[in-house]
Amino acid sequence: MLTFQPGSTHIANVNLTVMPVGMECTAEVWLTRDGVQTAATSGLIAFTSTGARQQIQMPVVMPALPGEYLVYLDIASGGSLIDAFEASEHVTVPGQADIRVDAIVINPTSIVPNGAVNIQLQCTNYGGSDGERTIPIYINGVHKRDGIMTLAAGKSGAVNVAYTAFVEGTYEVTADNASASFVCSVPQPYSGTLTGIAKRTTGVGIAGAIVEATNDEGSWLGITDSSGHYNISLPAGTYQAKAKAAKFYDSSPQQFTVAGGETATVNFILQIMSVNKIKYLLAQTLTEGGYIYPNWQQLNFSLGDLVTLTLRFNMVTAYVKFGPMTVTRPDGQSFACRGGGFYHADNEPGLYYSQWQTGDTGNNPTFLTVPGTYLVSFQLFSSEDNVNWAQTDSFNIVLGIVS
Amino acid sequence: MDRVMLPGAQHNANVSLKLSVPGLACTAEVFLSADGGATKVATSGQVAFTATGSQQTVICPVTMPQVGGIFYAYLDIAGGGVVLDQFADEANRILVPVVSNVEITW
Repeated sequence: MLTFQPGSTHIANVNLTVMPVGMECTAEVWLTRDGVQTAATSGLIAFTSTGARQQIQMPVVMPALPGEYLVYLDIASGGSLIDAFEASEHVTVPGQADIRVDAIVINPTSIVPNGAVNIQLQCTNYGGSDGERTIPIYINGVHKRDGIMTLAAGKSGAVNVAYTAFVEGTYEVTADNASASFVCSVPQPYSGTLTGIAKRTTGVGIAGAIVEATNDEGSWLGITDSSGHYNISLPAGTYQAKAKAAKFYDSSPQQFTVAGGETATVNFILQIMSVNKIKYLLAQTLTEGGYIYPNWQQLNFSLGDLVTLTLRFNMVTAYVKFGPMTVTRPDGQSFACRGGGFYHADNEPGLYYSQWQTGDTGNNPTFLTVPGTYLVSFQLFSSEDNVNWAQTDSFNIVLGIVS
Repeated sequence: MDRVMLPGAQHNANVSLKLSVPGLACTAEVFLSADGGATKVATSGQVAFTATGSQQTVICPVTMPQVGGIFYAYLDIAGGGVVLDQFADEANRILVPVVSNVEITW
């Protein structure tokens, strides 16, 4: 079975012998579906018989209509048909190409004016023949470009077309039933500036404070200089800004709006953290073992002070003693405290207390020399018989923050 | 003048003549030959007619040969069992074309 694409030209090579020699003849190869109607023909090709086997080449343009065609050959001379033949091999003309756009892919989808996008038409040839199609591309409904797609039957492929957008707007690209869009716009400038100062309540600028401006699109940071001033470049928009610094409480958020090319000013006053008058009322009841009921007394201390830690507790029927009390400074260094020690009830229940003092003898009169949070820890032991001591509990107590 | 006649096709040779003896029973034969009349490749056979003494037409049907070739027409007129005259139409060729060994390739 011969299969020829519709509209394609093929040469029928006719080999034959015509007697007598020297006859002026014509040959015509023609295709028909019903034996009557000519669907395609070579036309009359003149030749002179040689009396021997000879070849005549007959170009035939295949019909556009798909189908199976009979091939006929007519030999004529002097206006009379000499002979007619039907070829044993038929010609099949498949269905025509049917190239359609399945999808449009645009890259990039956002450009600036005078920027170009690549429009890619993703196509498939759904027809029975190879073919080429010029596909009109519409931009916002107007025919602007064409994509020329050549595809074999049943195959898929893509054709790329460049397009430049000159003005801002949204561009809808359509081809066949597919569509996609891209946006052409002027980007927002990074010209807005946030500036200001972070300072103490006394008016002195705070160095190293971090100022943060945030909105839905992100966060922008700035750090104050030695005088407390800062500058942040950021896109035009509305933000929440706040400042924070070590040893200071965070500021309350402040909302501000900055336009492109303009400067907004936001100042911050930060409250310093202080523990001078922080008081701890520590009260805790031990229930484990059922013997010891210590009550923490109020602890008062301040930076540079010698802190006295007093533990009040009820003795019931047990013996009790306290392990060494240590204080750990914010820098991680630990120091033993004076005080504490061994107590026993001797079966005389009552209210007792034990005291420690921060600071040891020698070069460490006090430990509260480093700002920050201090940790006090010690162990509590009890015994029924003053012999078999067992650790009853351990304590970690935060003294407070020293500034 | 060449005339193309298909093999096997029947054509009438219209013989126009004048025989001077009215009432004479005659025959006319038209035949085709490629070798000067020695070999008859096709013939009308003896077609009987009676001479009128004036110009008359005798129709001689001839079936073209199945063999292709270039032939000439010859005419024999007989009367009373005697060949009265012979004519050869060598000015006009009869072309009998035959196409064979046909093959079509693409």
